[in-house]
Amino acid sequence: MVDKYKRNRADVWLLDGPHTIPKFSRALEFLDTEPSRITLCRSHKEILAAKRAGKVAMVFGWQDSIALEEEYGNDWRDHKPPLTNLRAWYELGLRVAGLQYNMANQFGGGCLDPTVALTIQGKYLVAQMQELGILVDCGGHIGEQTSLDIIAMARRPVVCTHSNVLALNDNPRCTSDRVIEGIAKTGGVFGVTAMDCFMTWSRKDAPKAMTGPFPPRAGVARYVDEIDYLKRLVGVDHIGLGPDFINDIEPIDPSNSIEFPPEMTYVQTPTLKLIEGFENVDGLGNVRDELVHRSYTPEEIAKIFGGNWMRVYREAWNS
Amino acid sequence: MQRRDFLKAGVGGAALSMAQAAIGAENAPKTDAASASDEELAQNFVVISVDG
Repeated sequence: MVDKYKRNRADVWLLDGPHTIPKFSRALEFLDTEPSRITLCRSHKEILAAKRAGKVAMVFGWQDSIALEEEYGNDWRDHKPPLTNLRAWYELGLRVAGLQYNMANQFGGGCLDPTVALTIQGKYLVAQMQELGILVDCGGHIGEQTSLDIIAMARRPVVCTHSNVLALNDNPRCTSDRVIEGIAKTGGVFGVTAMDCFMTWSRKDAPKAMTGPFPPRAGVARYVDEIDYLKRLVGVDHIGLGPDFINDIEPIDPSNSIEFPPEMTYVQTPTLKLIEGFENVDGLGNVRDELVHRSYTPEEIAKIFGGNWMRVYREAWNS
Repeated sequence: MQRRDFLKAGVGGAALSMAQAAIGAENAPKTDAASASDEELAQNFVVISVDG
């Protein structure tokens, strides 16, 4: 894995991070196996230092904040003000966090509950995250109304770490223009996933989720169509790569899943497909070639490939 | 490791390094990481937002 990053000059790996101490410990032990090539970074300065040292910078992020729910030892009721464990997670290295993963929780709505608002607990968390210096995720897995509420109260840039454009494909995992525009107004970035079904499968396809026919895989050109759209909508300063590469093999069966319903995906084995030509970090060159083909300047490509993320990290973190 | 194996691994490793360097060249930063200012360096990053 680190080889692929090194081979393709990829500098920062935002990990879909662990929610428990044992899993966090496993992640740290993984980093310990290659201390000369990869390191955990907790600040913008540490990322710069890692690059200067020739190391891949790993950043820990969460795709939902389940670890801050009541049942995981956070005191939301008895203590005034509430006592969450966010401070400890921050100290462990958490620097990016979404509140929901597709479904609603006590903090607000997931993308499958788009009308659910950010709850009072969710508002408390967003404020606490921005105070501590944790970059808040919205759009994508997070519901539209909850995302708009996050944007409305943001005092620092917020982002969508990985999603696609709803206006180009009506899939519930994609993000509406008004959320994308809201993210841009905070100074944030929208990361574009390379997840095939979010660009090729839509709500109207739901009845054939188990039987097919299934759409042909999209390619890098379709991926860059997303970037073209975003450039027109919010400008190149608010676009980033958010491929959402998958390393765990888990079959997708929408017939018995609430989290991955037929409106979102069709049955896929061994796991969710990524687009052809950008299945992993080795596809970076293909994306670059397509951007060059479409007359993106070197400066624009540098922003999309990482310059914009680095700007947001600097502004959203405290160091 | 026996010397023969060591040499074999060494040659193979060098070939792999050369191949990898060629693949990565197109993503190579335009700025020298050692001498660039923080601001210049930050413009030459490749960030992968979410990898399992």
